[in-house]
This record gives sequence, structure tokens and C-alpha cells, in this order.
Amino acid sequence: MPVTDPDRRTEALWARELESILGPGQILASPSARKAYDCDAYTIDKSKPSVVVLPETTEQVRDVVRWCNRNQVPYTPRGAGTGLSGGALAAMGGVLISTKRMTKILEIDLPNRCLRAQAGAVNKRISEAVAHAGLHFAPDPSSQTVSTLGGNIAENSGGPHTLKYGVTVQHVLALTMVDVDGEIVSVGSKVPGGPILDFLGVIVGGEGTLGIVTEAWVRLTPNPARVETVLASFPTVRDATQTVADIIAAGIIPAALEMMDEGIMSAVSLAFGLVYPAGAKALLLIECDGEPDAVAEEMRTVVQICGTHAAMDVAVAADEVERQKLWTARKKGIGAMGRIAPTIVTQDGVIPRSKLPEMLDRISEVASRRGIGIANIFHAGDGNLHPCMYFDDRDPAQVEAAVAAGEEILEVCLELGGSLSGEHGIGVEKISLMERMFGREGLDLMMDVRSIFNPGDLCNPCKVLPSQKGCVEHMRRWRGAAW
Amino acid sequence: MVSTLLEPRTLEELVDAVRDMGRVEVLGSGSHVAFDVRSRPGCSSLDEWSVALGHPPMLLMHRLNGIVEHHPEDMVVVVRAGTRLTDLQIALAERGQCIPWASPLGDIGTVGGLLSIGLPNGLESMCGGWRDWCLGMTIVRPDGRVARSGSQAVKSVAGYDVHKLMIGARGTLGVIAEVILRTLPLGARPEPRWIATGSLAMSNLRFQRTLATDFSRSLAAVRGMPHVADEATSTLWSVDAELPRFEHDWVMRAGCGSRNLEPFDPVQTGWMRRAKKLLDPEGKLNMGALEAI
Repeated sequence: MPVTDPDRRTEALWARELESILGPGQILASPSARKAYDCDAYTIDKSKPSVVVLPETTEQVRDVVRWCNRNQVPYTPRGAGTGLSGGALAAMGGVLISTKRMTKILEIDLPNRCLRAQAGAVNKRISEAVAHAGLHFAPDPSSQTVSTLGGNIAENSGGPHTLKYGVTVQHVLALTMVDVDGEIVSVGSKVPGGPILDFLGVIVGGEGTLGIVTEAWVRLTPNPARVETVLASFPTVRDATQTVADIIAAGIIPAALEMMDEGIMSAVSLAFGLVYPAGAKALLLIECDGEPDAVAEEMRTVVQICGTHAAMDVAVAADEVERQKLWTARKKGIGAMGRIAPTIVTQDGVIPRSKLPEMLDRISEVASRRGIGIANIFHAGDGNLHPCMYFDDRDPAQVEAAVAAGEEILEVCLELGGSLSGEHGIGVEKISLMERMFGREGLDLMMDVRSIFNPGDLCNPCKVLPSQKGCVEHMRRWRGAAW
Repeated sequence: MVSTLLEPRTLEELVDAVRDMGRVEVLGSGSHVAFDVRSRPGCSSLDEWSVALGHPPMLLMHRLNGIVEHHPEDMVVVVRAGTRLTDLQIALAERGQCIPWASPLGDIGTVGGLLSIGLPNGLESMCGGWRDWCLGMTIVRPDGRVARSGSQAVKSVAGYDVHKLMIGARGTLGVIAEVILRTLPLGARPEPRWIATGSLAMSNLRFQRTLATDFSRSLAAVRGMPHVADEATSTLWSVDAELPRFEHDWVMRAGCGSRNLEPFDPVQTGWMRRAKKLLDPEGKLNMGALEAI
């Protein structure tokens, strides 16, 4: 049957051309496929790509980018689609380049402790591939069982253990990418540093807007000889935050230092039957790792500091089973919130650590004024908050209140000297707040830096920076759809 | 002949100086001029370097100094770029903190200068380097606009990390006015685990970093010569001599002019040129210090 809809006609033509460049089965263009790829884990905004392509090699990505340039079609890279700010959204339609079939681990160099993998390799698989040698890939975003190396590089992903081990940028040595002209380029080296501009440091965290990363050499980190974990409960949030401050001031950098408030505690109690001392208002999960003697010493100090701040219960994990149990509240906290309300939206903001008590007071003030629930679960050690808003999205007034509360919380982060995002990125979600954080001059400089790599408007448009050609209407559309 | 010399003391004076000047050489204290790709063999002092470059107009940053804010509880310090590292370390030590930098040459130079040249340090394997400590910057652009990058948050993925591009850019892309740095409690600062033989001077220094698997061959070549070796990062500080090169390695040599700029691939060369054109369109800042390839 001939295709009569003019849009569908173009799409059918594009799909045929791209299929001839790639191969049969590497193109998805059916209405259902396009719908399946119309958003990432930031589900408020949706935009269908015209075609989804599934390249298997760097050369195939290059060929797709060249085709897009020839035909002036926008293109957007996508990993596993777990991003929380709409970074993998095909904001202007066009071609969505999925790394789903680029999952190979290409080389393992154990003596130099590094590994080369394709962008679609799943984070967790990288660690599994070198577990036999006692090594791992340190960035551990909570999506790590599905999220990809390419996605981690784009968002400069963190995770609970980045307090000690650093975020993705500290663990990427070199990468292969297809630039916006469709050239393949290798950036960085297996030997870090050196007399060249740190392009690598800008591309990692560039949210996939500076070219398409197809492969990377990553650093491998030795597994710690010993891991010790404690879970402590406190009568007030302030006692817990003061404990965090004192641990850091003592010169201890725990592998993880996570905090959960009353809202999360009651949700996990309900979901998993975990019992916390009556009257406890906050939990701290503290993990130290390293050489056994040093860890034991650090843990003694940590437990002592907890004691000086009225800790009600300090549970030390005796073995791995107990350790996993202590992590339950942290790892399944957000999931447990899902039982309490029809909708949960997790925000992401950062503040200087010392502002935690004030910040938590301000969040609860925003929640009560806006009439929605907010529970807090976060990386306390680096001041990275994840306020978890729970409400009923069938009620447009509540959706509006949640969106407004989220923006208000981020405004407070900025007021306290913090940042709009610690892990999730700007994507399309936070674009309107960027000028508030960086001012016009800061954004102009960022726009110039983007133009070094990507002076046009085809590669992953409408992300990170506001006022790009053709994007204003797009933003209005999703706001309309959300409410 | 005496060259024009500007020594701003405030951000406002710096903005005026940068906006009103034509071509200018931006320098911290001038302690690293030996590594300038335009210098000549034997140029190890600021005076010799100035002569070699034909007395260019100079913008010396050393008077724009001092701590703007220090938040010990957050382990963050905001410091003016012209602050000498020794002075910063003394001020931080009074509050029990430090920047975990260790060099066989000691705490030489200014914060802005050290960032701009991006030399390795002996605690890198345990504490990272400038790229890891630098959380943000205030940058004066060649037309006088003041742009801020990053924040005081120790973890942030908001926007592009423009400040990372300034590290190692040798002052060619903008003038660093203020820097936001992470600090470390003094008690947590490890001792460097390098092995030192003899003493080193800036004038004929060479840095080399190799893969771990090549490092022993690099070490063998400097046996009997003064050197410092950090096995954890496979980094060597030594006197400059004809030494072996390896795949993936890099070197920086004092007094060796353009030998410090090795050819890059055409795409990255293009990025470097475009960076200069976009960030310093009139070609005012440290022309030729990095982009002439």
C-alpha cells in the first residue's frame, strides 16, 4: 500500500536510505518503534524520532552522521535510555542513534589496568569482565545494571562510591568519537595528562552534544581488600548532618556516605519490614574500604563520631549478607516510595555540605507550602541531594505543584552556592534554569566552547544551553503536554 | 628596551587591563617560562624569556592574590589566580587544610600559572591533580567580559566544564582571575612515595609519563642521572637528555621550545584552532603559546 502521509513518506525514504548504508535489521521505523523511543527516563517530555538506527561499529556511526549532514537531518545518540533529564530525547525528531548493538569489550590491558569497550557496553559488565583480576570500573550509578558506558560518559555519571573514587571523568582515559563533520577522532591517551588541551574533560559530561562517543579506554580500579559498613540512626536530621561534617573534617573519606530521612525510612519499613528505633528521624549509611588495618581504624573513629551525635543505633555489618541488608534502605528507598504514591519524581541538586541542615529545612518548607510530599535520600558526603517528590499525577494541580516545587528547590541550591545537577545532567529538563546559575556571560562562554566541537544545530539539538535555533517552541510544547 | 608591564591588583583592574590591551603575555610569577614552546634553550628566567620573545607587553598576575573565601567545613577555597602556592598552603595550614600538591621542585609558582601549565604532581595517584581539584573559575575574556564556570559544589554536572579547558591551556583562551579549589585536611595528606636521586632544577627539567609496562625502561635510561620517579603514575622528573620514547607516552621539556608541541591528529588540531578563534578572536592572549602547530 502506498504511503500517503507526507511525513510518513519522508520517513520511509530515510529508513530505506539508512538501511542501505547500514544493513537489514539495523533500522527501526515502525510507528510502535518510534513511540518506544520517544523519551528516556525523563518521561515528562516526549518527541518521536523519525528513524532509530542500530549501528554496530564506529564506522557505521560515522556513515549515519555523514548521511544526516548531507540531508540536514538532526541526530541524537542514545544508550540505555535511563537518563533522568531528557538527554536522549530526539528533541527535533530526526535520527536516533542507539548504541544497543555496540556492547563489545574490545581489549583488556591488565598490566596497565585499563580496558577498551564500545559505548553500548553496560556499566556492570565492565566490572564483571575484570572481576577475576580483582579489578572493577569505579563509577556506580544506581542504573549500572542497565546503563551504558556511553551514557555514563555523556552524563559524567556518579554513584554512591564516587565520594572516594571520583565520577566518570576521573576514570576515562581516552575515547573514540565521531565528530559533527563525520570524522573519527581519538581523544586522550592510555597515559593521562600531557601538553594538550583537556578536550577529554569537556567531552565527558558534554551530554552527547559535542559528538558521538563510540568507544573508550577506561581505568580499572583494584577492589578494596576490606569493606566495612555501618548503618546509624539519629534522633534529628541535624545530628546526622553534623556527623557527616565531623567525619569529613576528621580527614576520613568514606567510600560511601549516604543519608535517608524519615519519609524514606517509613517507606522501606512498610515495603520490606525493616525496623528502626522509635523516634529515629534520619539514617546514615557509612562505608569505608581499603587496607584492613586502616579500615578498622577509620571505622572506630566513625562509630565514635556517631556516638558523640546521639546515634540511637549503630549497626555494623558482620558479613556480606548483613552489608546488603544495611544497603536495602539506600538502594530500594526510591522504589519503596512508589508504594506510597501513584507518582514519584526524583530531583537532583547539589549544595555545599555544611548547608545540609538549612537545605533540609527549606525543602520541608517548600513541600508543605506546595502541598506535596517530599522524602530525602542522598549522597550526603558530597552534598548531592535527591529530593523524592510523591504525588498523584492524575491531578493536574499536583503535577503543577511538583514541577514548581522542584524548581524552587533548585533555586535554593543555587542560593546556597550549589549546583543545578550533581548527576542527572541538564538535558532539556533544566535548561531554563541555566542562566540563573551561570549568568549570560557564563552561558556565552559555554556556547563558544560547544561551538569548538559542534558549531551547527544537527548534533543532539536543544540540550544543555537555552536559546538554540528552533528549540523554544519545542520546550513550550512539552510544558503544555505535562500539565 | 623595557616592555609594557601591567600588574593588576583587583578584578576590576584586570578587566580594564585585558579589555584595553592589544596583544599581551599573561604570566603568573613567570616561574614556568622555561616550558614555553616559544622560548629558546637556556631561557630559564623571566628576563631571559622576555628578551628571547622581543620584549612583549606583559600582564603579570602575581599582585592579584589572596584568598577570597575559605569554607573549611566544606573543604572549598576560592583563591585569586595570582596567589603563590606557598602562600595559599600557609593560609590553608592555619585551618588544618592543604592542596595535596607535591613536586620535587617544591611549591613554586602561582595557582593560576600552575593550572595554566598543568604539570603533574607526586600525589596524583592518591589525591588527583588540578583537573580534579578545580571546581570552578572566574575567567576574564579578551573583550573584558567576566564569565563564571563551575560552582562551589564538590560535584556538579551542570553545563560544560569550561574551566577544564583552561587547565593546561597556557593562558591562550582567557585570563583566569579566580579559582575554586577543593582542599584536603592536612592529616589526610599522604607522603609522596617517589624515589629521588640527586637534585633537579627547572632550567633543564624533563617530565615523562609512560604506561606502567614501559616505565622500567624509562627508568633504566636515567640511571646515574638526577631524577625523581613516581611508580604509581609512571611519572619521571629528570634532566633532559635523549631518552627513549614509547607509544602512548608524553614528555614536556624545559628550554626545548617547540619540541614540546608534538603533532596531533587533524581533528584535534582543528579544535585547538577553533578554540583560539572562538575564545580569543582578536588573538590577544599568549599568541603562539599553544595553538601554533
